[in-house]
Amino acid sequence: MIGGVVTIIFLIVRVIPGDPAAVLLGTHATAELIAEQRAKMGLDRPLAVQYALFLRQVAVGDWGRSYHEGRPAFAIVLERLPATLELAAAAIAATLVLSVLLGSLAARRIQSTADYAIGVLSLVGQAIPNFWLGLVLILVFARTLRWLPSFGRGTPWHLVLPAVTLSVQLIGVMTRLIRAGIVETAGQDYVRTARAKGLAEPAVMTRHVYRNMLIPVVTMLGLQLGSLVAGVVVVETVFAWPGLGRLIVTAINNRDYPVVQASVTFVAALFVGLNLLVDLTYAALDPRIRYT
Amino acid sequence: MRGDGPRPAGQDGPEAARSRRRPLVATRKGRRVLATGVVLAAVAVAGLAGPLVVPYNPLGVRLEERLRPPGARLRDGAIAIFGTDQLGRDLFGQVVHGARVSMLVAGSTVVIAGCSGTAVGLLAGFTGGRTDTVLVALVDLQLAFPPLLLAILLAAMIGPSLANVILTLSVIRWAVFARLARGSALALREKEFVEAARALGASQYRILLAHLLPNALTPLVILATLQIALQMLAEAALSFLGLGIPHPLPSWGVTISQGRDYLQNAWWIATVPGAVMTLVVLSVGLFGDAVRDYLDPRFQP
Repeated sequence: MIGGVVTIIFLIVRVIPGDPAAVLLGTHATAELIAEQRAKMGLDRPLAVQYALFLRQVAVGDWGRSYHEGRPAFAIVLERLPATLELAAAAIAATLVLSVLLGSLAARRIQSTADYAIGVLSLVGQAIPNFWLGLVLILVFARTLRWLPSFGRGTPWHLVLPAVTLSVQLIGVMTRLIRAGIVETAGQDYVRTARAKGLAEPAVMTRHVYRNMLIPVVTMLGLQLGSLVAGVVVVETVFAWPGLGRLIVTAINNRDYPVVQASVTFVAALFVGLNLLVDLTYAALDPRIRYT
Repeated sequence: MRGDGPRPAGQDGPEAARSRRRPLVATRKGRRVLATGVVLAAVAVAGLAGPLVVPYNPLGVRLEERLRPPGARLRDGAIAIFGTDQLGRDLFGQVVHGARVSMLVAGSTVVIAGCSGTAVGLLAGFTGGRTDTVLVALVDLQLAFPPLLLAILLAAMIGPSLANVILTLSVIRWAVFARLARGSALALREKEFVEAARALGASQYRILLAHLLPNALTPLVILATLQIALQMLAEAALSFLGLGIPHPLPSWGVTISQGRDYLQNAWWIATVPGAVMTLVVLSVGLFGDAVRDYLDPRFQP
């Protein structure tokens, strides 16, 4: 699977119009200088040869050097990784806490005012374009109220606005799902039995209801990882967050092939890896599921 | 709106088929489809009839009217409902034309991705064997790639233009349709009516087009309506990043991206188009939900 992803990335990246050699040398470069630079970068060889060389480099963990900074592309990617992981982790944590809270609140009394309000909110949350939400939050909390910094990374306060922006859409999706999950499991016979035998309500919820709806929730979170990846690219651009997403956008604009390849492959691999993790979580959650 | 997608066909009872014949107004669910569809139709009409709603050039530069707030009266007596941008261009005109672009891109990409994905999926599920193996591998490969990341890469490769955005967003969505259509085809090809058609001497193409396709259509239509909102958001995100609709063309993403530099002194440039967009995407989502409830009676929200 990763092999296929790597091939797709190579093909797409090498067909990007615009000559990186020309971009690198600036507007005053002569044709000979550009040709020389192309030869130095290996861009004059046939595509198949470039591909073979690329695969060999990938196999040994050498992603080439950034055309722009001259440093190894992989080092640049690794440097940006912690910022993205920090942002993604904060967004996922916020999503889980808030969507479980809101979902439970809505499921407590179906078709009550609170239920409808939360339902509308989660629909709106899914409809808001995240880059726009980011700008609105900057406008309100950074520019007008001056409570929070509007861009960059550093203190935990810098994390608040990007993480909120990134999680709103996920919260919308997950709240709806968790509400439906609770409503469905709460109607099961074993939940009625648990109540009938006098089990306290918190114990009924945690031991019988939440535990049994975890699998669909984890599945859904896994499916949402794709939109999280896209969100990271957009949100990092809005908030000038120095992570992988912003690296991808700037590298594309600079035609910095090695960095584009390394960062996109890395993100795609991360995505595949996280999906695998989701599958493995099933076995931990449900003793009936076994991977042999 | 998303996530809880439709099931493959081949599981609906005869009751479902019969209730579907009744006119839309006759049922509560049908009326909901109409009610949510009205907003959508209004936006579509505003987009289609853009030149009538906005009988002036929305890109007309009037530097003397730059950065006017919403509701300001311009020197020629006209009122700029949404204000003007940094070049004095009317924001309302840009929003209406943005709706045009958004509807065009979302509609055409869903149709292109839907048709190609359905064709591939039905073919794979129906023929089976090596064709199926290859096509399923392709679908799986594509689904292993975060869709918008692929769109960003592709868009960067072929450059920003309206046609390229449509191409890119079609490419990233066909696989979802293919997977659903294949599931339906697998379930349907074992049914008696397919066997009967084959016994009567119907060709493969006839079975595919006249027997499988109509029976597999409902979940695909539901999926398509749910995808429209996603595609609108995707187009705006691409345009915002500078990889979608090229600069002077009015697209919601482009306008919002330009307003970013004027957040401090002209908040309306970035916020108003986004608010309109949220409302449109929301009503598209509600419409999708209503269509699903109507076509898939067994779905319980």
